[in-house]
Amino acid sequence: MNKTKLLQSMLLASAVAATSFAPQVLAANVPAGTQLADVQEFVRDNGAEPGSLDPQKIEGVPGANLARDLFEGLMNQGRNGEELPGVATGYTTNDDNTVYTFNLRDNAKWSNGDTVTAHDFVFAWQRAVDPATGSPYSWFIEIPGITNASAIIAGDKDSSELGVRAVDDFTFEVSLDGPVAFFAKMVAHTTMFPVHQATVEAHGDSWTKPANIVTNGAYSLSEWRVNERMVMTRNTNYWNDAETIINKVTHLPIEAASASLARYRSGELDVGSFPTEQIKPLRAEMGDEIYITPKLCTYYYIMNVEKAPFNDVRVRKALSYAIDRDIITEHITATGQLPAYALTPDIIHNFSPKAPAYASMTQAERNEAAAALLAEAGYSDSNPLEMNLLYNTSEGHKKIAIAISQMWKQAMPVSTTLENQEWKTYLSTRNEGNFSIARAGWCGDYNEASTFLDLLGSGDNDGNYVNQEYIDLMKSAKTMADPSANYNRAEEILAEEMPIIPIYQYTGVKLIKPRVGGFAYDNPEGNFYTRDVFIKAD
Amino acid sequence: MLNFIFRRFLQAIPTLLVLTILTFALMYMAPGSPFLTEKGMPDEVLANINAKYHLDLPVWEQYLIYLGNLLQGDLGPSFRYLDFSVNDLVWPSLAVSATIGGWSLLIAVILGITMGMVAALHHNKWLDYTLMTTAMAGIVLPTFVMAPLLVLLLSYKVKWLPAGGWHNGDWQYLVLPVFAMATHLIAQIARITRGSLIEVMSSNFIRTAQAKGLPYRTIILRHAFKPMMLPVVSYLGPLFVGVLTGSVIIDVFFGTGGIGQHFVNGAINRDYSMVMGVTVLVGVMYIAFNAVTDIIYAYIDPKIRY
Repeated sequence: MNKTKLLQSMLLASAVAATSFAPQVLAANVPAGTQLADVQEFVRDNGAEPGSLDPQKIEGVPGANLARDLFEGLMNQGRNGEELPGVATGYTTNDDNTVYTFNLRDNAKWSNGDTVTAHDFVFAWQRAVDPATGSPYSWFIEIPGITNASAIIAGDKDSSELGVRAVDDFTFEVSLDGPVAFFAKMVAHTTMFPVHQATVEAHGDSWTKPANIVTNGAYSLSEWRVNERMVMTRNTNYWNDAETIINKVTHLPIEAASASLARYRSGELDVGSFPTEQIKPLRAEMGDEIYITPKLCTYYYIMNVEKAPFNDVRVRKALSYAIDRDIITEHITATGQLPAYALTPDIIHNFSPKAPAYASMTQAERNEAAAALLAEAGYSDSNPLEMNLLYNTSEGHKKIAIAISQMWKQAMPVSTTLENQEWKTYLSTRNEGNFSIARAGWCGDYNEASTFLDLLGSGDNDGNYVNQEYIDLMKSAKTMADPSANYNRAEEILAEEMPIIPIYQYTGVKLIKPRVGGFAYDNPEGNFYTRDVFIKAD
Repeated sequence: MLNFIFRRFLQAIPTLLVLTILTFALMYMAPGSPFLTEKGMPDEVLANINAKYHLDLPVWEQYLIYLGNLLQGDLGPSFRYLDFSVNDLVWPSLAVSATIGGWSLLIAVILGITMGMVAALHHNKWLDYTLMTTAMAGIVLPTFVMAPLLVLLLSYKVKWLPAGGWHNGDWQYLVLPVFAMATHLIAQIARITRGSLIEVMSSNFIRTAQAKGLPYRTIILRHAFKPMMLPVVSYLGPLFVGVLTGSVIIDVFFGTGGIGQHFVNGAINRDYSMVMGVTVLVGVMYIAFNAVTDIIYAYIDPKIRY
């Protein structure tokens, strides 16, 4: 990303006035008349064991779920993805939106009683970009173009030169290379959470162990048994502890959905999951405890556009057109997924992706167009298109791949060989470009369309797709107050050139006991905070 | 005997060395690497991570570093659980699996041998058929069927026992995983015992004992028991290690935090040091338990001398 150019975006400077922000805070919001249970303990399935609890090393959803209970960033995220105050009570920006000044509350404390200061944020953010830390999400600091982030990550500058500064203990200033409309939303991400410097320096990689860890979130870590459970108890030093209700939260790293269902049924879990193929009988059994909500994720196929036959746009389009997405969402995934014709899911905040033209055609029309395109590309019954379809080993991906290969075969002369590889082998194959067409999926890191569209916004993508107009659109979108036009054009280019085939938009499925209140099951990113939760009396 | 143990110990060294070299080589030949992610990492960050874990060095050098650390009892840092060393992870999880495995084995040996002996002594009678049909059911019902079945009955329907978890080994949390694991073993041991005892009972020395008019009890317990145990012991030796080092099905389904999960996840995640750690551990245990089996053999079979 070229951030220096963004800096000079005078257009935006005049368009966007200085803003300040200070709405309500995040805390358990118990409706009037609700009788609370005497025991406020909450047990949930966290899906898997986290790779780390260190905010700057967290990579996946399980770790992020835990970090939001243990740590608190400058801002929090509301149920619908909106920004809410966290350690910062609010922020101001300069006239051209390139300098954000966060005002920290003076009563935010670490679990050991130390005050949370702007210096903790400076330390954490510098740590995130310092290559020595080895943060897998260091690029997250790069996205909004925090000054010098890219050079530090590349090893060209020292981490102390990052564009962050503690003006005083309670004023944290961030300099950006250019204005980024969604920056305040990004600071709710775990990579930007503060860490307690003395603790990190004293204990090295072991600082997150229950005996060592110091947290600034609503909970402290009291027990961590890998692959069994993680127990957190109230951090009484948390600034808003008075409005937190759950006293103890247990996160269970249950990998198998069938095990989660068994433990939910036995009454050991308040929030669990289930194998989605069991949806029908479960609806009859416990329909009112099943919650299906749209998630900020897209399932798609990626094609290697440098390799024949996928260097021919007609082939790519034909394959996309001939997929009947309705059949996949209604009969295969069958838990409320929406057909996808664009890369960006519909629930994205502040942007309504305009459906491409082929989305409004009937499937018969699409099949006809597909057959014509493939014939034009030179394929026929005597010379069928032959290819391998790669997916990572999973029953779900297999079912979809079988259905799609049948759809292709019925619509036009295509012969597909299915090829499955276990996760790391599949990643390595994709990474090295040794595939022709492969299954892929992406979940947004923040609730803004660029988290999806940026996947193809540089030449660095597994399908080797490069389109200069697209790259320029994504670059200039960063500095726009309303980048919708750029995003729509970007989606249009994707529909015209079809480097990827969007298939469906994910949903999240959960089982939630009726006694649980305040759990943000419907957050598009699946983000929730246990401090919002309460247990109702039976 | 001491001489035998010492020889066994010396033989173990090259065996373990070959084991580590082979595992190390196979692991590095597998495609993918521990820090390969879908999104990818900036080059400099990846280079730092690789340097931190010595992944930037030639494989032979990495192996020598690993071997050096291993000799000092250090199994290295985990590449999957970044906040832990392999030592941090392996020992507590081995304790969990060994507890489940130990109880399963104890129950299986007592019940299996008893069932097998009763069946053999009632050869071709209804008791034999009943016991062996039950045993066959135990064999054909794999753990991954047994575990959910037990949970359905005892945790969901009657709510007597928890469906999962470990809670520091409280007995309630032990019962289901132990029985899920033991059913299969009971059945196997019962069948082996039965077959062995039937064979022993038809041998000449038993007939001689019978002809001498020895009491039935003495014939069984004093003369037939030891030779009957030979095939059982040779089955139990390697099984012992397998059972103590856990089962991924038990770990995943009951969420016990046992070591079985580390075998599978270690390989899936290319957690090189975890894979090495558990391989070395299991290797050492196999060698040790095979030696123990040989010693027991010498005790129960007078034909064997070391």
